[in-house]
Amino acid sequence: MKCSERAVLDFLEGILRPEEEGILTSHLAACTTCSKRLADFQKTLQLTSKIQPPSLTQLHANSVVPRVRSQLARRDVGSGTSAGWRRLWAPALSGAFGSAVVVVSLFWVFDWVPGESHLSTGIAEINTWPVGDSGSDGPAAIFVNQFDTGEDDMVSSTDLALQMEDYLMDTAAGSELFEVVDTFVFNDDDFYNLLETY
Amino acid sequence: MADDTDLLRRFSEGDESAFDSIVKLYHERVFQFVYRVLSDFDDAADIAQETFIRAYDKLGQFKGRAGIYTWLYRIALNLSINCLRKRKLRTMVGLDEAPPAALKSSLGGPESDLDDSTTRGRIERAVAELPTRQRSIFILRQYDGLSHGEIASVVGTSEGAVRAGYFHAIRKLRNSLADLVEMDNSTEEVGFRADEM
Repeated sequence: MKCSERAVLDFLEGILRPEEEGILTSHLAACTTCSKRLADFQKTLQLTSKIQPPSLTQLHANSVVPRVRSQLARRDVGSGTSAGWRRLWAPALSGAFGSAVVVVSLFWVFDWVPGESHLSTGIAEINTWPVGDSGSDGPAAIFVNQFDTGEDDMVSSTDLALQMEDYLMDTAAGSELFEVVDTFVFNDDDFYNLLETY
Repeated sequence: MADDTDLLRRFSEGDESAFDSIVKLYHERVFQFVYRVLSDFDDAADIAQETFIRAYDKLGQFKGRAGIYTWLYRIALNLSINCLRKRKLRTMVGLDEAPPAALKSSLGGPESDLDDSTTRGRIERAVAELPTRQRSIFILRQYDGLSHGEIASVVGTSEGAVRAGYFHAIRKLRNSLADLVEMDNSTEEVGFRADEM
């Protein structure tokens, strides 16, 4: 077999199939480069495994529940609702709110997007939209402007779309959701996903 | 100890103490994950707390097909990414003059010389310098022991992308720590907490 760093790490991770593992084991016995790689990966993992994050003090740990409760209560006082009320009615209200947002946004999108092709594209086709060109104000450019952290792993359009989805699924409160939908253009699939979620 | 399914059932039936149990059960774990991503104690404590507040409203809708902790990690990671983004913006516009202590070493200055003189500082810096997604994947695999599938759920990507991200993270760490890796006895020299400065 040819030398492969990736195969060596997969071997270390224990995710090779039995026949692949057998081949690599034989290869490691004969190849000093790959056996050195294996040793290096093992040492790297050993080194990094010893770093422990700071511990929360016992006092801090004991006060977590009261602090979370207190913040939930403050939030509920601010909005004039109780935690129980929010929990029972939030799904229904968020569904109604989400539907309203989708309807409003559909109007907005149809009005805004130049040409119909953008409306029928799948998420992968975001890649084909103009990104970062001078004067471009297309959806992908907006995605990049809002979500690009400048790190190489975060800038692909698909990743940005996934981040966008994550944001909507997990962290968006009502007002934030409206802002997001108001700011971004989604394709058909995203609208249906949004509708299902809310 | 009650399991996730039992806690979710009790919560959906209106038992508020089930939520408190979830906070007690997972808070430390979420805090440590966020701390490793952000390298800042105060931000990590705030985000760990915020994670449970965000989770509260939607916990009743959580189906329990995956562990609660993977869902909590997902919320925590999204909040952490937002925090990093705000931090970066504030640094760019000059609102934040002092970066988090654990990241000082990556930005130069006298503190970095001090940090660089310790093995711990070197390793922390190497992990902190990984790109956010690779760092998240590495942390979830190395420190939290999540499977590739669980990490894919947390990060919102495919298992293949997780394996690739983990591979690139390890390779970068090996290169950053090449001299330590080369030392045969290096593993004997480390084993400390981040708060043991």
